[in-house]
Amino acid sequence: MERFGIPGKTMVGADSHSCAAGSMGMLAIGTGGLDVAAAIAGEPFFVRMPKVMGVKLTGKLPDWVSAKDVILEMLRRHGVKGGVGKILEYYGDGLENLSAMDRHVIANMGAELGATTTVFPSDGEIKRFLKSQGREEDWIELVADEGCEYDLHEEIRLNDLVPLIAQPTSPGNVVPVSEVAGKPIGQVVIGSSANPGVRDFWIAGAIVKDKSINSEVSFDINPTSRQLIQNMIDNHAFANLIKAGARFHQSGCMGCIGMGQAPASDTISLRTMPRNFPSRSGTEDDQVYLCSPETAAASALTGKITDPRDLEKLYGMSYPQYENPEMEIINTELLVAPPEDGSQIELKKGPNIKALPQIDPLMDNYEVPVLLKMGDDISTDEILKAGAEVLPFRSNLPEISKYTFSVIDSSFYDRAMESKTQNGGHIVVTKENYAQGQAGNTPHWHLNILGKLP
Amino acid sequence: MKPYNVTQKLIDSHLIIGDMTPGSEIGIKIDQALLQDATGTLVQLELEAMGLKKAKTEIAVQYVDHNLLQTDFKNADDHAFLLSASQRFGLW
Repeated sequence: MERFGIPGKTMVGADSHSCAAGSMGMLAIGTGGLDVAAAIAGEPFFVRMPKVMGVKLTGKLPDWVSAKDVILEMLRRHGVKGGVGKILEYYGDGLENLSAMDRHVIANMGAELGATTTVFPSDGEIKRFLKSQGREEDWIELVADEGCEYDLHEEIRLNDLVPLIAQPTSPGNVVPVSEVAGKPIGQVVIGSSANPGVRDFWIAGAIVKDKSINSEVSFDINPTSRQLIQNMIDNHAFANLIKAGARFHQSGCMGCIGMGQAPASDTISLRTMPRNFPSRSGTEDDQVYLCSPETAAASALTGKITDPRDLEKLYGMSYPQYENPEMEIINTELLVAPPEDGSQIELKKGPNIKALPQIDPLMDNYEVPVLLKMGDDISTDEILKAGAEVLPFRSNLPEISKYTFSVIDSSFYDRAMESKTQNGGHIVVTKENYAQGQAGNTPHWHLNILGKLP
Repeated sequence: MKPYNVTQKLIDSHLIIGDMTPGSEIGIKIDQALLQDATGTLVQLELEAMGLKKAKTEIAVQYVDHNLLQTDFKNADDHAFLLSASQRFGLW
């Protein structure tokens, strides 16, 4: 978003939250690695034409309610399957009150509805954003024509929204924060692809400024990029957060995919992240709630799930208003450009990096046993665990195959390898919304190693 | 000319195969590609297996924001591999 996105362009990404780039009028689709490899090699990207759901936004968000609550409202209404086979396109005068990064927040979690992607128009706000990034020349206008049509319709009146929260263990399990307020918490995490903008960190800093967070809370900050860190230092968010008791972490997904930041047993973790699938955080039986930075920061102060609107009576605080700077501090250090001619460059392969396995072509008929029956909404974390134990094996297919479905059935790998020898393979059966949350291909390559048929 | 929404404009300007009837298969030209480091290692190995000389998209970017803990050699090896592969295949 900061350095490469250009309105009017198409993009495929080997990450399920690639769709966030739709916030600037791109067609940005998260898909399997093989599709991305094909696109890099110049092939077209194939997809079934989705239906387009036009989501009309009107009015303005009330104080203490922010962009995260908009997409949580979409999840509340439509659930984790509600966007399957659809592109969500936002329009309406409500857009005048949503910044480019607010739109990023909304576009990002379209993935949690199962949407093919999300699209926003490229309007004056996107021009302003690109100018603040030193890239005004990349802007083009791209808005819906007068009288255009949508296959499906939805409307959200921004003025009617309240702070919302997704309860464990699904992004679709959304209720108003006020319904769960008062529960004690052990951790707050600010950041991730779902709340990556300077404003999101600034507001957390503004809320905790000159106060101390509750001593039982680990107040974790995952700054989005080096550039963001510099901007946070410049606008005092960094100092406000540190003085209040924050812990700073690396720029990356981190706790969202179980790379560190695992919460304590039987404690609640409030995160501005997009996902809270079971055990994803690295702690068995975790209780991860998803919310806005306002809700998260308010709760860090009190040590309990807190509706941020209550900060007015609890601390006499009025809602801090962020103002976008004309120009953000830009950091392109270590953006390593490719050379003109890379043909002589040798690939550095350490011992955990294995070349692709040989795949036999598909036959027409197979007679193989069913080794596993699963239900609806099997998430990527159940196909292949996230987290520091398994993710590093994604460059090593034979090794990562050993973890297939281990969350559901720890004997699966052994039974699959046995069936491969005896029967030539196996199949697994599942119901709706399999691979919920997926964009990567690894869950399916490793099944090839086990002999599962595509 | 029929009025288009933004999605239709984006797809129409990049449509190579098929038509925009919901449910029917379409082939779209892709301008930009992005990879992250958990999925990217496999993708770059696929580029190697394909014998690709240089990325054909306008821009392709390899991000490193997943395997950051580096509790043993594996993550850093992946990062070194991804840098070498990005340089070889023409990715940022």
